[in-house]
Amino acid sequence: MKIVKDFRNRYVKSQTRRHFLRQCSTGLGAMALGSIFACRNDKEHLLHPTGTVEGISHYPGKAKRVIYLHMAGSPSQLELFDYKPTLNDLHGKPCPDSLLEGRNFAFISGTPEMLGHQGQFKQYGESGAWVSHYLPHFSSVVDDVCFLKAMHTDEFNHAPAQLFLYSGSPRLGRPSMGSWITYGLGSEAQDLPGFVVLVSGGLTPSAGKSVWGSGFLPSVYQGVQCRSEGDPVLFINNPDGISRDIRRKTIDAINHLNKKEYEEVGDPEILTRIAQYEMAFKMQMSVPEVMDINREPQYIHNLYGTEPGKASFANNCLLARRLAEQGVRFIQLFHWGWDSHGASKDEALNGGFVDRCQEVDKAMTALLTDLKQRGMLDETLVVWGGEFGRTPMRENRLGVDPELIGRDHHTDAFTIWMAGGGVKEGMTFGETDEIGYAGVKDKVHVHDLQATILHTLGLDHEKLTYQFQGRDFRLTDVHGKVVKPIIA
Amino acid sequence: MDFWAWLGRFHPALVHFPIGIIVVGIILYYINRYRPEWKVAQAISPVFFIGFISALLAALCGWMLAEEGGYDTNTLFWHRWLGVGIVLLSFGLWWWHSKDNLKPAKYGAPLLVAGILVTGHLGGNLTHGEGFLVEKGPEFLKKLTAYDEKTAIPTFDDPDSCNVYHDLIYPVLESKCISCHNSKLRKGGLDMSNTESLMKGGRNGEVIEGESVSSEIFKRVVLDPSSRKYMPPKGTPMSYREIKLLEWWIDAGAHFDKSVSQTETPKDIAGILLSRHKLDITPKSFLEKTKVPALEDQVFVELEKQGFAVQPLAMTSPFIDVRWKRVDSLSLSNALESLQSMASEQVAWLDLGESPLSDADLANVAKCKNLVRLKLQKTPVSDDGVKILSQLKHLESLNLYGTKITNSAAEHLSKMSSLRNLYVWQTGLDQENAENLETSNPDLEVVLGVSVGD
Repeated sequence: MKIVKDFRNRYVKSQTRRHFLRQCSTGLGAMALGSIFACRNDKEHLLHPTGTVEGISHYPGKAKRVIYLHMAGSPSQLELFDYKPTLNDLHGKPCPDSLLEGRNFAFISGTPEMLGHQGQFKQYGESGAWVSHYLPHFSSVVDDVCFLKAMHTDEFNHAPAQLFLYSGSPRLGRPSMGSWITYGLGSEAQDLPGFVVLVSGGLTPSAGKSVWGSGFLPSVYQGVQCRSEGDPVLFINNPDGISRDIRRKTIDAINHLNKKEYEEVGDPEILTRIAQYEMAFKMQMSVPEVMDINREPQYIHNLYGTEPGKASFANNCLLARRLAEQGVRFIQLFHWGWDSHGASKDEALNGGFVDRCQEVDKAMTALLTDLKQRGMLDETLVVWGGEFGRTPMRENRLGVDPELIGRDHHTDAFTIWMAGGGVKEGMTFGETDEIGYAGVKDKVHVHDLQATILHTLGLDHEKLTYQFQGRDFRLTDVHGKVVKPIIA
Repeated sequence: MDFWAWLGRFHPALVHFPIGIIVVGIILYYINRYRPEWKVAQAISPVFFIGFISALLAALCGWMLAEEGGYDTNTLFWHRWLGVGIVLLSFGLWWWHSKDNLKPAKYGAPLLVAGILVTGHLGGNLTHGEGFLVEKGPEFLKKLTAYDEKTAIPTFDDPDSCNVYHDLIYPVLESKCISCHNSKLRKGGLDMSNTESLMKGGRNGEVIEGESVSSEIFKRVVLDPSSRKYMPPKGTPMSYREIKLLEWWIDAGAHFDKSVSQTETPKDIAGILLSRHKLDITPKSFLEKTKVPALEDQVFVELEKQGFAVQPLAMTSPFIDVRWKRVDSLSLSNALESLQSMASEQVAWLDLGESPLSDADLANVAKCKNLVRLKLQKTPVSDDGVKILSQLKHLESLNLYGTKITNSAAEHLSKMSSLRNLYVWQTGLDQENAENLETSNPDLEVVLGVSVGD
């Protein structure tokens, strides 16, 4: 008996943590590969046909995909949606100390003046939503939209606030929302990535590409950036003299080597690499087709205000619709240039801000109209917003042109809107105080927004988890509450 | 402050100590009897003494607690007098031991153990309810104790089919009232066993008059339990939740034929229905209410082979979301035939957009009777096809954009009363007909889209 015992002890000792982890990761990698292509030819996969990890219980979601229109730099809610007559009355008066005590602002120092609305507000639609004159097109579709007016966040600088919004943490390293969602639901698109990113306005968002990174999730789930100017994806075309057949053979050879390597070391990232080669090969055919907006009829170009060949927000909105039609799960648009401090002509409420409004107004309205007439708005959640809000006080930066008007970053209150898939139409949820400084009713935190977006897709934010470094992580970390009243 | 009642509340805190200490005494007694060399004899007498004193205190508190009322009278009788017996017997054991008379303990010790077990069990039933111990137990135990499943609280899953009086109120009356107020005994002239005699009332007139506060039946169960008029006079009193349900039923008009979904239900009652009867009254969509068998894995494989992408609506849902993958080499007609034969009940969402769908194929689509979302955009579907589709009774969203339908389709579309969203952009259906459809079905939104000519 002692021999048996001794033998068992030796066996247990030889099983290291590394063995265990390797066994785990092989399984996960295989699952990852299966779900990203939604190819269902083995019975095992059928047990989890949505590509999710076993044990996640979903409810039927109304939305199938998300188009997130991010206004990088954060537009002023006080110039667009959050109408406060009292703020106009207080225009030019010094800000009371009670609003400044113990507070950190990105740039405001000393005692700033209150700043009245720069836009003229009116109520629109049957829902009577307040919209300013800066968005003349958008005001016609407010009855399709649900406004969240008492949003708040924890971060008052662009990069951490954007990371916080998209990954649930203000620091680098977590998977982004689109990665979580494609990880959870897989992709319907056979020949396109499940998560596509489109950038306009000249610059990538302050937080860089991490806002569409996959963090510790297998990197098949990271966002793929497509460009609406020049080649949609860099180096997507075969070099001169390389035919598609030769390309196929090359990829087959590389994949063969990679498979061998995988069998030896079992690193799931090798499976990701194999998957990416296959996807890239398919994308050589599919991407040029889907990204070519010249195929659209003239009335669609008129609707969106698109000009083929430019990296404009309008082009990206039209591309978003085309990608949605192909079954892409998460389409992320960034439009840069909303940081209206009043520090320069382009960063002022009476400068660049007005231009930005003109750039997005027609296109985002067209996107909603177009999705609706194609019967896609019901199953597509469209979200619009920045990473935080702007102060009711005027920013008082020294030494700049006194003609320029601006507002500072503000965490306590901002407005976003959602439309389509699973969200109530023509609703305004949440309220700020009489000067729009902070939410007073139905406040929604960034984590609550994340939980709600997952909910519309049928994902439970508390169950969509991934184990990393010894604990389960999720998009909402340990926070977040689904905003039930806005769910249709 | 009511000192004696307050003292009574210490009964649960005190009662466990004598149980333990008396059992220790009995263990010591047996050790001394069979292993006298362990020399525990000295300890027996003081242990029994402490047992007796603590049992006396616990029993006194228990007596005070019983005075408050609200307990099942039958069980309480036995619990009370067995408790007194334990006090006396533990006193006896101490007395005889202190006099070195060990004989009575030969019979007294096992008797005391049995007494403690029975009394403790009855005490448990008093606080937790009759059948507490067997409710979750094995079947043979239930049979042995004649545990009646019917007295267990019934559960329901559909507020439409759960009748407020017959399913929720009557079982309470049956267990608490009807043993006296039946057609034979008619205590107080009241017979509650059928609805007519219940409404007729008793010797002193009607027992249900208008609101709950003015109804005798309600007033009697919320009296001070020590009152002479308190009901039920013996047996288990009505629980808080039973009283709340009774109040809800009377205030809703004491009706006999309405279901839960036809009765206005405040939040606290909704909570009681959920926790007591597992009845969830939050409004559910058609798919959430409908039950169909889940599909075998093999069906998914087969449908994929035929050219569909198939996904369950959710992990826990038997319904499926089916999309035609537009593989040119496969026949849509054959695929739809298979879909209808294998999964006609399970298809909830179906996307056949941009396919060469014929009106004949729609006969197979129309057999998928639980369809909720149907997408037929940019297919050659005509008015005749829409006529076939009008059989679908639960269809909420129908996408016909870019099809060949004309104004003649309006007649068939108007018959689809469950429809909420209708997409007719780039078709022959004009604004006037669209508006007429919206007027005849106020829940319907017809989306015409932008004018192509602009």
